[in-house]
Amino acid sequence: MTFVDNFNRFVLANLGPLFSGLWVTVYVCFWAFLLALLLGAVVCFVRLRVRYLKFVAIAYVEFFRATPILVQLLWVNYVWPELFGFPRTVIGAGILALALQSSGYLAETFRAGFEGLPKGQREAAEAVGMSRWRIIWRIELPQIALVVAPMVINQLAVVVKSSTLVSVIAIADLMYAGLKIVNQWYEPIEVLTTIALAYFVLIFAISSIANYAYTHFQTKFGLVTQR
Amino acid sequence: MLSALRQMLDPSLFWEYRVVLLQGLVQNLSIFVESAILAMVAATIVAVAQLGRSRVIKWIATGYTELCRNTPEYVLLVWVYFVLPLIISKMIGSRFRLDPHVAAVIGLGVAYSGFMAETLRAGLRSIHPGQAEAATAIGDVVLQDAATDHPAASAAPNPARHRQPARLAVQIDHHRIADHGAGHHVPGLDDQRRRDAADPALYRRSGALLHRHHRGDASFPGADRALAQARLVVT
Repeated sequence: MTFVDNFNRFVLANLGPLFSGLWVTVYVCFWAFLLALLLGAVVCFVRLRVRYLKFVAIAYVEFFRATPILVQLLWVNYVWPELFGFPRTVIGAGILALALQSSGYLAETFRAGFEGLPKGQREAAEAVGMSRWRIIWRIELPQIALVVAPMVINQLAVVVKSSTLVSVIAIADLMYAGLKIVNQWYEPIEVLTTIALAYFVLIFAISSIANYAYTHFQTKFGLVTQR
Repeated sequence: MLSALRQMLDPSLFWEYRVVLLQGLVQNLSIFVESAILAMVAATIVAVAQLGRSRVIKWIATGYTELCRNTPEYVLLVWVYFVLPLIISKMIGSRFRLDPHVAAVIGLGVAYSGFMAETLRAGLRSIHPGQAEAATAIGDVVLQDAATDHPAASAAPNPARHRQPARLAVQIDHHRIADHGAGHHVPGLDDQRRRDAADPALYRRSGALLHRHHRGDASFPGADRALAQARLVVT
């Protein structure tokens, strides 16, 4: 069968480059997501607790949520080095662009978590003399972490999805490796279908974890949240 | 930084290339509108299929939404543009090419139909089943009452438990309307329905509900109403 022959010839024979592409995808997504979590937490904190910088945070969130990831990738990759002198590598640009966009979404997710908490908890904690950081660390964060976990995991799925676009700025991720093979042999059926399935499996696994968290965390930890 | 910005940013460039840029914008908008229409139509079909009676169709619809939601748009676009024409060519035996614009519309439409189908399904499910039942009770033909009234749903333990009381309440309504039907004109209540409503099993089920209430086990949305009506039937 030609399909099997082609599959052996174009996919199995090129498993090395494809796996190194997958590794780059995982690497980019991991650092982008980590950076996004950090930035998102900072922006959320600024928006909620720093009165004078609140509008900067709002502008940041709205800007990065409302611009397409492709535009941001190109913008960070081509404009930032000239404006700010960084990022110096394409991988850095890819990570930064993905992180910036996700941080906007995550900041809003965190904020929803904070604002969903009953005000009385904070007041009660203040009444027993807890300090500001202690309230955040011991009262608010543990609850928020459980409530926002599904949405945060979903955001990871979005990062993996968007990471396919980093191939446009010549980061050698899975998509890039696949397109390279396609351009070499011009036999796209097997290679592109395999790549599509690989991404599907990866993202489906992540969103299944998110779904599991969504349905089980609340019952498991006895949390009551708005659905 | 500011001088670099001033050096880089030359607004006259926008004006110079305005025609190209605007053409691009129009292209964007047309792809957006066309793929949105495609996504809505596909999503409606898929959402209804997901709530339908046939298990096979349900699985296919669920598989479709999961595939669309979990495959990156870029991969889907490239796949539709490069792979789909080749597959169609092999199937029809002659060369087939897809216009990039059409490929973009299909790719984006398919990608977002998955998300929309899920949203639509959630919307359809969130409507209280009692509404559809009430509508059938007064004789409306419900276009899509699969969400409330198909065998697969009543086989599932949890939703069914929520649905039974509502359905019972409506059946009791039927019954009462049938009882008093001689004196009152009830619009849309035809004879077949009247015969269905005078169902002896209703007494059994009303009794069971009251029994459950006495055990302290009848707490569900709409319990008060169902109980009041069950009392009317039994006494």
